Amino acid sequence: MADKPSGLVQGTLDMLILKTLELEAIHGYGIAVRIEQVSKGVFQVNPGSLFPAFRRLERAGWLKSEWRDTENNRRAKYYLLTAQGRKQLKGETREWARQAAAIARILEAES
Amino acid sequence: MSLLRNLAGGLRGLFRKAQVEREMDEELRGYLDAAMNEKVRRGMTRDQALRAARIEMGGAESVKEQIRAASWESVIETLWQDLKFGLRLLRFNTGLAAAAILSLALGIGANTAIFQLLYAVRLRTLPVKNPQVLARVAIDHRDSASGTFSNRYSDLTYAMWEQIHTQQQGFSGIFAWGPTQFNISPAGEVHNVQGLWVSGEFFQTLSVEPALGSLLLPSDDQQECASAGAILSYPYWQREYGGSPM
Repeated sequence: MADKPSGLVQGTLDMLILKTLELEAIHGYGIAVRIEQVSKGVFQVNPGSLFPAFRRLERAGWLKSEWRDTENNRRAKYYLLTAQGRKQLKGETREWARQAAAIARILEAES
Repeated sequence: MSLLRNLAGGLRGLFRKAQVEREMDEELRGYLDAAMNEKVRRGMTRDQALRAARIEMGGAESVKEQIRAASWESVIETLWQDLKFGLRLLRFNTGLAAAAILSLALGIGANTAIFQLLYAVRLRTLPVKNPQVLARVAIDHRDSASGTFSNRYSDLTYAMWEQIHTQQQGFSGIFAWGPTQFNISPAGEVHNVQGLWVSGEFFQTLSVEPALGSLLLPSDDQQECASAGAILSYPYWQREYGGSPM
């Protein structure tokens, strides 16, 4: 059963985008769909936050973009991870795991 | 590295604006198309799908605005637009603008002039070694003192100075000075310049170094001007002698 869509936890969109691009280059719509599918519909990213994030990540040097033909023979801007982006993803993932574990410990603590 | 890329991207946004905008348009159109095709595949009609996709996207212009806002060059762009807008408003209201600019100019000018005066008179310290330890010796209630005081800076008579000079122990050095005018013209028309009579310790006490030549020493301080000499101030030397070492 798909959960109701909910807002992203603040500051996690960048990490999700980097993670989505870890294996292959994808275009903007593909990234939005992938995030929605993999999260089983919990996260829906709208273009108004997705595209600004692309620009931000590109400027930070974590993403590169290039125009390629899509599977239906149209041109689309594909995003791919740079070496720096890969490093950033690793760091953010580690940090996230640490924080999530800490929060879980607090919530599960018997009072 | 990433700073450089950020800078380059921003400059491209500023100077190749049309191209950047075109790419943005194309990218968003592609997104819309892809979203629409997906909905058609799930069974919507083309019209329904297009409308649904547009609603999801929430207005291409506002998305573009958000993308622009994610980069630093948008700040410059906004500033530039504000500036243009401000100037246009000023042109609407020429009289008021002129009055405002004029009063600003006068205000700033007056403040600068007052500060310059204050700086020269009060704030700037003398260009000597330890200006903060300089002190002036003077008679407290001069009204009841006797002696001839001939100019503005007369504090002591020569007799008093002689006593203080030989007996004072409060200062590491002490000197006397008095303003005067010298007529430096050898003949004909009088040519007066401002000068100071100084005692022999003047330059030593102030720790002033000469730009050229030597300064007066305490040993030059003899009665009857037995070994008279003069020191030129730097501006006077430059002005009257062209800075030549003579």
